[in-house]
Formats: sequence, C-alpha cells, structure tokens
Amino acid sequence: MVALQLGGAPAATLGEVKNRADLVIFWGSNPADSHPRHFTRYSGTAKGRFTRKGRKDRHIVVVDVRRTPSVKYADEFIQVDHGCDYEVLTAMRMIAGGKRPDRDEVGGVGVDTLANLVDRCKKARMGVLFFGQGITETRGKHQNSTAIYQFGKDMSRYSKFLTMPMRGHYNVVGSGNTMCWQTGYPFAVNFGRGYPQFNPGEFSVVDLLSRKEPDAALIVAAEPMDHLPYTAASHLEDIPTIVLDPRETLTTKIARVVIPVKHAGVSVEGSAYRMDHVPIRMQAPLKSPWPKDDAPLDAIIRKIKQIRIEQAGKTDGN
Amino acid sequence: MVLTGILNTARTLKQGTTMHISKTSPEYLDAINYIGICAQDMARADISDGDRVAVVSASGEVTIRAKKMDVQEGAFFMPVSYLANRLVSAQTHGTGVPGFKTTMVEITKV
Repeated sequence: MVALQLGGAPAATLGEVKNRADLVIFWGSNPADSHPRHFTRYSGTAKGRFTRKGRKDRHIVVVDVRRTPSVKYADEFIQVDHGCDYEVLTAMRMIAGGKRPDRDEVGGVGVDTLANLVDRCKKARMGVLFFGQGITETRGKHQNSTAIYQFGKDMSRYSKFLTMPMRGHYNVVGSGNTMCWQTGYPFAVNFGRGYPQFNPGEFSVVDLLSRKEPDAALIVAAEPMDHLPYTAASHLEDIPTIVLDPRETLTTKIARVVIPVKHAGVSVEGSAYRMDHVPIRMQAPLKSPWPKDDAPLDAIIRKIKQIRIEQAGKTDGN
Repeated sequence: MVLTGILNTARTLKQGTTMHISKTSPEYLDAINYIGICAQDMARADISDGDRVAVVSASGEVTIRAKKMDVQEGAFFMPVSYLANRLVSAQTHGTGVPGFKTTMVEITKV
C-alpha cells in the first residue's frame, strides 16, 4: 500500500491477464501453496481470447529465495539471495535503461540472466509481474514493492506491462478499499482524535500492541494470536478483547467476549473484493442461526450514542 | 554445533487446508510443527530429518521437528503460525510489517 503511494501501480483485472498475458513472472510469491487456483484460472493454464493455447502461450518465470512448489509449473526459476530483491530489481532497471552493472552477479543472480529477463519483458505482448510477501516482508519491505512498480512503469515504455500484488486472506483488498474511500488511507488509521490519521509504525496494529498502548480490542474476523508475532499479540491476553468470528480460533480462546456471527459468503450474502480490486457479489448457500457480522457492531454503536446522549443530558442538567 | 541464520515464514498448502479443520487440530499442528533446513546445514550441525531441534530468537523459543528442504544455506523455513510467531520479531522499523522474513534464529539439536 505504501509502495503504491510511492510508485503508482500499472495494473489491470485478472481477466486481462488471462486473455492477453504471454509473460508471467511470480516474484516472492508461491501461488502453488498460497493461491492454488490462480494458475488454472488466470495466469497459467487458463485459455483466453489471445492465449488460446493456454499454458503453451505463456512463458512463466518464478523469482524466489527458495525452490518453492510453484517452480515445477514454471519455465524458468531465478534464485535470489535472501534480502537482495531490491538490489536485483535496481540492477534490472539499470539494464533496462541501457547500462550494465560493473559486476557479473547481483544478489546471487548472474547479470546475463537478468538481462535476458529484461529483454523478455521488453518484447512481451503483455507482461505481468505478480509479487508476494517474499517482496513485502523481506529486507527493504515496501521499498522492494516500490522498485517493482517502478520497473513495471519502465517496461510500459516498451510493452504492455502490469505489476500486481498477490493479495491474500479472502477480503483483505476489500478492507483496504473501504478504508481508502472512507478515510483516504488504506490501513494504520487512527480515529482517536475524531478525524482519521495515517502513520504506519505508529498506528499499525503490531506496533500498537508491542507498545501495549490499547486498553481494549475489538477484532472482526481476524486471527492475531496465530498470525502476529507473539510478543505483540500477547498483549491481547491482558486487555478486554472482543472477537466477532463464525468459528472457534486461537483468538476466540483468549477473548473476554466472543460474538458468533454469520460466515460472509457462506451464510450471509454481500460483496468481497478479488485481489485485482474487482468486487464480487457473494451468495449465501448455507443458513446460520447467528446474526450478520455488522449487526453487533451497529448495536454497539447505537448503545455508545445512547450513553453519550445520556451523559450530555446529565451535564446539561448540572 | 549451533546453526545461525534468517527465518523465512510463509504459507503452505497443507497448512491452508488443515487450518479449516481447526487451528487446534492435530492435522494443523502437524502442518506447522517443523523447520526446513538445507542438507548442507543439517550435515554441519549433525541434524537428521525428523530430529527435534530448539529454535531460539530474541523474541522466544520453540522446540520442533527438523525437515530437510531445498532452502539456501543460512536460511530456514517455517509455515506462518503461532509457533513461528513465537520467534518472529515484532519490530517493524516504522513500516507496520514485522520481521516475518527477517528474524535471526539459532538452531541446536535437542
């Protein structure tokens, strides 16, 4: 998200990828494990309008620090040294600009290999670079993503070229989108002063929990006790934590209050955003006795408003 | 001998499918309860596939199963989970993203 603000994002829908992309690069992303249907639906074997032969019409490259299960589906595997993605991407931008690094290898990758990849990107009918958490969580973090977006913009001078993050966790894109059009910011938003403030590192959840700042937590369909570093998440065990979730999780186990709610897209209809920011209408094939997940939130807001009105009345009376 | 290196945590397919059984199921525990080490590092530290190893970071310690994997020397792999997150540094350096792939760990055979 921060990289997107810094670098812009040459992107399209996954339908365009399916119909047109003849070069697909997965960088720091392992769709065979993390997005098992991506390959067959959009980026690998899927047959599209201008990719009628499916897999045979695409050249697939995996760039990663380890030989992931995705490598066996690729035509080419490029192994980067740990934490050297930024160096490699910078070298590729340099090569794309007509310069050559003054060494034979950058970040564990031969310069000739990088030059071949850049050449392939320039000649692609439509190239797409999907990047994952191997980019966003390694050394350099959002600066790596910025370098990818900038490389994508560089390549757009020569070919149609897209750079797209492999977002995960069901509707995480919906969360970012909604925050953006509600507040102008994608995450790490503080409403404490009555207006939205944005500052990753200060208002992001791991930092807040590490500093033990929150004195209460409301968690909606998230699993911090499994997904966040324990030194941060453990603070939730010490404060009143309320969880809205359709299932028992490690976080519901430590919560003071658990409110079971319907399962979005299973027992309640609505919309969820696909990783390419396309909202998908979800149906509700199963029934559930629990309320919709916004019902308890609405009830809490109504109660808070009522308490405030009562308090204001008492103050006026005095 | 103590192995020192970077811990790389990421998703695996088995973890993704077993978590929908239950986060407390034996299947989920089996899917997350290992650390991937390359053959060269295993030989250097006299660790065999399946041995129990203690993994220590500045944040915490876990004792889990060693698994031979095709990773780089000095780099180790664990599925994202509450076990790996006992080790992961919560320091985000102002980005909001903790050290899921940057935490240094030490591994010793138990």
